[in-house]
Amino acid sequence: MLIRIFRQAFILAYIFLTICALSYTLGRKQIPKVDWAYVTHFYAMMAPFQNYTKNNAELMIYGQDASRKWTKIDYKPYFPFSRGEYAIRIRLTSFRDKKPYYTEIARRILIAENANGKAYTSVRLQWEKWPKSQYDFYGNYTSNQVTNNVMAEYFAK
Amino acid sequence: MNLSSIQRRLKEFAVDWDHWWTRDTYPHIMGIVRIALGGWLLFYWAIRLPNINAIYTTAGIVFPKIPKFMPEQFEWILQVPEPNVFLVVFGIHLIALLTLTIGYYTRTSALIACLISWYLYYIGQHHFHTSYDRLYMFSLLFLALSNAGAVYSYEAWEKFGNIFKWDKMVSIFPQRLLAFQITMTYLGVGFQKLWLPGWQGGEMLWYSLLGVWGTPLAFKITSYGWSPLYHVAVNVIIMFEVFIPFAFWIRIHKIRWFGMASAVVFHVSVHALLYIWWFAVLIPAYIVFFTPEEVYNFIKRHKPQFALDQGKS
Repeated sequence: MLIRIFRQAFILAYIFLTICALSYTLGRKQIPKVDWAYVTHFYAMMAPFQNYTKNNAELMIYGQDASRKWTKIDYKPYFPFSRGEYAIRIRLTSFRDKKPYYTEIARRILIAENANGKAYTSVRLQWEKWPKSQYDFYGNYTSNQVTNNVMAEYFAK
Repeated sequence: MNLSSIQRRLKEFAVDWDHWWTRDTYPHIMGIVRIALGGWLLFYWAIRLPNINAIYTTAGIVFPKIPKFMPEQFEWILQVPEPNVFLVVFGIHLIALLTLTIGYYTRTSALIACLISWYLYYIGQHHFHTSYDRLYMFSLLFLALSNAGAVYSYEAWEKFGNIFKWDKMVSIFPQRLLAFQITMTYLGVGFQKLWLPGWQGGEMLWYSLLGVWGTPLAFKITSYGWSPLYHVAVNVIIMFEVFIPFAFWIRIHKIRWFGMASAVVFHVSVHALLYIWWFAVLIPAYIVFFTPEEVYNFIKRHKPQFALDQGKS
């Protein structure tokens, strides 16, 4: 009997939370007094790609040496993901104030790079954006088409 | 309509509801789902093994997320672990997925894998907050609630000396939950596209193919240039995605098969063009839209040795 009650309660709770998620998915309406923390997983299971952009973007990592020369650092050893997964993860959308996290990433990369024999005086993270190309992801990645936005820079002490 | 007829109808509805959600039936579907999903998740996590230090431990750059509902005294659980500690946790996860796949301590294995998936989510996966990670976690929970190890499993072999033997009917409950969730996933995704501004034209597909997920095949196709056919393609995608969740439940005129075939074409195309391969696990999971009786009889007709009669010997 107890198992039957548990099952029915589980079914009803599951359906209710799914309806809450569907209501937000289809109508952008949150059911009042239902904590979003409970609905979010259900919503995430039914949310498609929302929109598209006309630009490609990637968080680039640069190290600067004593001669002030900037060298691009490969993100793969630090973030071993496909390009798409890296692009999403590095947005750090779980955190509202991203600045301290980007600074910490820059700091950790500076330490790791210098431990590997580089002599960087600083590491900079910047989002770079360029128009999409029909031929290749980096097809329009040219100096005159790229715009950038520095997220953090960490200097060696 | 008088009060007693309302009462009678409510009672009938309650009986039908209970029968649909929780009746006892053949265990074969959940046995197949267990093998497909367990095997898939084992593969999904095992390919991360070479990179676990960078993704989840103090040796990498890791920022865990503490959920709001977590009591302060338990927050230590989500501190970034040392590599050797994490290796043990990850090893247990892989072993649990392996034992789940082969059907050994099935429920316990599914529960352990579900809890560790939850842990992995808050340690490192929350940055890549995808639908399928959540689907995987819920599916493991459903398997933990099921008797998915009743047949085609090590448990069956241990009990009867034959993985195809079985003795108890099992509850259809976890199968229905899985079917319900898959339906709602397609329903939400399909219907939202009807009004989302980005999905009102072919530009959505065009710019997605040119984006961060685009495969070489996608760029090969886009190299021929823009065409109004992209508008047609987006409308076809929406049409099928709206149709699929209903089609799965319609048994007449082979509509169910047509819905599943459309979904297979959709997922294979997504995989080929966008490097988003994780949803492909849904394809074998469509078996939950068949009744256990149908599947049992089908196997019995075509491979009777794989669907033995109920009994202990």
